Amino acid sequence: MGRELRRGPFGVIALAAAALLAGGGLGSGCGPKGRPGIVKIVSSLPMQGSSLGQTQTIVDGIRMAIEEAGGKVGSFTIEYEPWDDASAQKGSWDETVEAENARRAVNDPDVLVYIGTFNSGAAKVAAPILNREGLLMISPANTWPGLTKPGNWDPGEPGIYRPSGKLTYFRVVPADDIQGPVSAAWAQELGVKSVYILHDQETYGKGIAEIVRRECEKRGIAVKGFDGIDKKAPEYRSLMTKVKGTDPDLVYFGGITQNNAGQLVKDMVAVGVRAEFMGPDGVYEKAFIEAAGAANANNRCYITFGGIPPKNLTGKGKVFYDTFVAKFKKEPEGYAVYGYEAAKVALEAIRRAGKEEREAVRAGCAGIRDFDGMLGKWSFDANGDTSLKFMSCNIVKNGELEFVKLMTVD
Amino acid sequence: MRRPPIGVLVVAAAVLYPAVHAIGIGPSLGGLVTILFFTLLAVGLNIVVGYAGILHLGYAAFFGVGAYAAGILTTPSHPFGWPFWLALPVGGAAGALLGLVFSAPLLRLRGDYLAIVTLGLGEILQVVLINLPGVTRGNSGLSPIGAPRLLGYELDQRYPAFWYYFVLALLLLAVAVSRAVERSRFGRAWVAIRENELAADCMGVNPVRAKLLAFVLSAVVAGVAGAAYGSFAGGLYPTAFTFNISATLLCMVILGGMGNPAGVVLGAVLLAGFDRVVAPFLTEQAGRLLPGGGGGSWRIFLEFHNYRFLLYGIALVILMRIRPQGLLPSAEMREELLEREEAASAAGAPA
Amino acid sequence: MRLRSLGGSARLRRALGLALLLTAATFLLDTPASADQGPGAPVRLGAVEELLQYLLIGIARGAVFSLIALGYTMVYGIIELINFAHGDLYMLGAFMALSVVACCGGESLSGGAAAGAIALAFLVSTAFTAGVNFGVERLAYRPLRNAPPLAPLLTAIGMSFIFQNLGLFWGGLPIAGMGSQAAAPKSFPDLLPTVNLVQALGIPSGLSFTTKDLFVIATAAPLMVGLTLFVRFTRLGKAMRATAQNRMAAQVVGINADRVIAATFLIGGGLAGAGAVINGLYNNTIVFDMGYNAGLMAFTAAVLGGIGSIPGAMLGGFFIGIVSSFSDWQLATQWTPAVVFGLLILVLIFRPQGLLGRETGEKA
Repeated sequence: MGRELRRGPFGVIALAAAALLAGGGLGSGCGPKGRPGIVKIVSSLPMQGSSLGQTQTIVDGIRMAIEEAGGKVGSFTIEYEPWDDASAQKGSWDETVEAENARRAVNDPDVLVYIGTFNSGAAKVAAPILNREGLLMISPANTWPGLTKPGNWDPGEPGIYRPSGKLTYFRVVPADDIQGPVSAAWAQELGVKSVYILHDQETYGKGIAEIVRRECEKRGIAVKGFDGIDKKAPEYRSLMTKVKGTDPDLVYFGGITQNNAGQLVKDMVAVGVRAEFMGPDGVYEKAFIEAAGAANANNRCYITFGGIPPKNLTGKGKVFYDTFVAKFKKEPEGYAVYGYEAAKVALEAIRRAGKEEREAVRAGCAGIRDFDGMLGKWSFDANGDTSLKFMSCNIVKNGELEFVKLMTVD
Repeated sequence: MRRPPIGVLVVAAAVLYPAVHAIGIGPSLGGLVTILFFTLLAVGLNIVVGYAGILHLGYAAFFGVGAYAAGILTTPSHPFGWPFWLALPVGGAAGALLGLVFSAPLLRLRGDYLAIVTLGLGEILQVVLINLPGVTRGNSGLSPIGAPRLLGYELDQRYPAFWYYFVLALLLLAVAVSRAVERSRFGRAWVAIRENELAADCMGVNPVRAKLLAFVLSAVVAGVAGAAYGSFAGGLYPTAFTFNISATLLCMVILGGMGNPAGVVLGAVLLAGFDRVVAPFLTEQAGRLLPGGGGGSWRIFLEFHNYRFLLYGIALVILMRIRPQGLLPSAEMREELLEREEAASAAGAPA
Repeated sequence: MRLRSLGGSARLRRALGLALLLTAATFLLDTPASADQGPGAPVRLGAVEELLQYLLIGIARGAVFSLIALGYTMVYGIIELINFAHGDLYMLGAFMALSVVACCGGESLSGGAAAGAIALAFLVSTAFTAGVNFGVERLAYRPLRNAPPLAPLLTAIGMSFIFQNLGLFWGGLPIAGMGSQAAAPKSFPDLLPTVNLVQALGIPSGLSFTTKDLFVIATAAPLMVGLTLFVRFTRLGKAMRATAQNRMAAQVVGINADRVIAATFLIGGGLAGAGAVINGLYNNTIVFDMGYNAGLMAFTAAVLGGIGSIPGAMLGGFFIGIVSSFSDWQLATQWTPAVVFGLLILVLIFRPQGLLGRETGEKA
């Protein structure tokens, strides 16, 4: 067989050239028309690996929103497909799969809304692809500010995500440039004079940790240290011994439950660090308290969350909460609300558009004002961000997340 | 007797596939490009594992070095702004350089000691990629990466057909080079080392030099693949270069049949195809059967995607039991196996 | 069981008994009035004390690595297989231990009941991982005895995937201890008393060495010593060494290699289970993908010490524990894996056979 293979390439070059033309020409030329009356919403989230818990919750939220609407908006039937942007090889979100999902959505004329992504890194991949074709993208979880906001983020941000110049990327969660300052302000209110900041080295965790560091410095809170952790380490006794030596009032962790947030709290206790613990919405879930152990977390862990906690919602939100508990036999967690809200926004955008056209749906979404959602009453601003500027402050008590108050900074 | 030219048929089918796909049949080209990348890497890894007989557990590191070298040179985040076509060979050179620097002091290590050193290298690179955000942008990812320009087109990932043919061409080139080297003096030296390193050394084969060549050659393939991959993916993230990737590539080589590029291609297409085409398809089909939502943590049992690793693992274990020599073993491998069996039965071991 | 006919398991059982005895002893130190985690500024450590503190942390950490490394090194020594599934077997052992402890009452246990639950977890978990490893060897590795050398390696990678997926499913079972999310880290009940022995003994120092730290060392050490004695002095142990040196020659002198290999997997698996319980009680967190890192560190420890060498694996484990502790302290935990592997590479450049490995010729 070897001889044939060796000769093969030369024999097929002409064929290749021909097929390249054929494939290229046909591939971009005739786009099939969508099915009339059918509108497809897809979500692209990592459905394998350690984020599974949160993404499953988001999918639950999306499904619930669509079912509540009876699977219809006006005369359109809504179809929903949860896509996976993780690969088994990576065990986490995969840039090639995310890009493939985005291309697939773009090439499927029925798809009018793309809900995702979970990881900000994945949004960086998908957003420009969707933007070129004017397909609406709504994220239930990305908090990296550079995705939308002008400012001093990564080079070229956010323009590089909008090659067509149009606004196609929206998010229902407040970005970290809101969460970070609120965290610092709350810490100061709690009487914190010094902080030791840790992060899980991911886009989200490190991003918010850096903002918190900046804000703390601005407020005169002494930053005793700033370290990334090895998220796979079995324990952090050495690190916590080092933290203990600097004797901070607070340990802030930028990161998510699955990157060992619970172990940090445990080792703070094991080593005898007297400081309190604060974390962002990535640890706003029961699984964090379970991982840390309620006894360790109680009265010690302070957690911020972008919006009113599900349990404390009133009116419409209360209905959502009760329905969710009845349906899924569990408390809706932060990400369920985000997923539900994203799907609600998608449905509203389709309703406003009134026709199966990507541009109309996109414009419909951009025009959303005073949306009466689960997180409060809010509008999309000129960057595609929610106008919600308040975070809820929560503390762990009796093994549960207990709402303390809402907070905002100007 | 002349066998039908399966190789040519396979290549022709691969070349013609986009035309077939254009009328709406089969998996998308973009997904196939990823499979081709894995295949290219597996063919490169085969040079060091299959030919030279070195257990290499850190191949993703060489892939990553090539990718980041080219990525840094082409991304607008850094001040170089090189064109893709210039950065592509630099990726290969970066891989080669790492291979050279790394293997020179370590190739005298025996078998599995070398294996763990390669594994360690992969882990170190991972840590470095994450911890040097000034250079690599850490987990936030280096993006965008410059795309190749051809005839005035900016051929980024919006043109899967281009990437399909481009990576296919790289793959064919890698296979051709593999074949050529296998038949050269070095190929024979590798066989000798694999059989008995000490004896080969005594017979005048320089094992270190032969191994070094295998290492560097495979590193070049990984580097070039990396440079192209970054541009195709549009961004570079450290998670693309973890041990998982090295292990997957190794599975492809062993499963397909070490030392035989055709077998390695088969192994790679099967394993990557399962992950990128078959599993997502089954996931969606299974998802349709599932009622909307509901349930607690036990929900994971109902969803197909949670069985992917299990099926993958079971498939590997079963395939190795049925065909321990791989699906399409090389001729030498078949002989070696035969010798082992004979030796074993000579020693009176139970079969 | 077959093992007994080969003799020597009595010593192992005695070692296990000793471990349990020491476990019980740590509970006697549990005096209720000694809560040491009250607020207030910590006592500053002197330079030597500080060094000692990180050394102690490293030793306790290393003890767990060592136990897992032993299973690696035994299997490698005897059939030259890098058992990639070993770390994941350890993970399954941890889930078994958590299930046992949680079923017994979990967090609410104390005193004698807690000691009983721990003893039960040791028994069940060790037997479980030993049994699984034994079964896997019988079904997956034994048929590959004469296969090309990398075939069993691929099988091991496959088993690692299977185990990891089973761990994920285990986490999703609606049973005690598993919590609300399948993939999330689980809390292992904190059943050991945490008393700072340095304070309890009245030593005037800010050092921290708790009953928990003592527990890790006091349970791991007898297991290691027991294993060393077992391999050195029992018939089965000698058979193991003989098989490791030259399987064919061992068979010629009448050693049943299959049986010896099976025993190796059994013991290696059991050690992973014991390590999992110790780790669970010490670090109190388990998660379905913990096997990767644990296996990696153990594998590194085994190679560093000289692969196939039992004292080497222990030395390697402690070495890595201490180095990583110092690196966490002086650099940052984010650099620790690079430091560990960098050191490994350096050591191997100067001692290609590992710290305690012997220079051996190529095997046939």
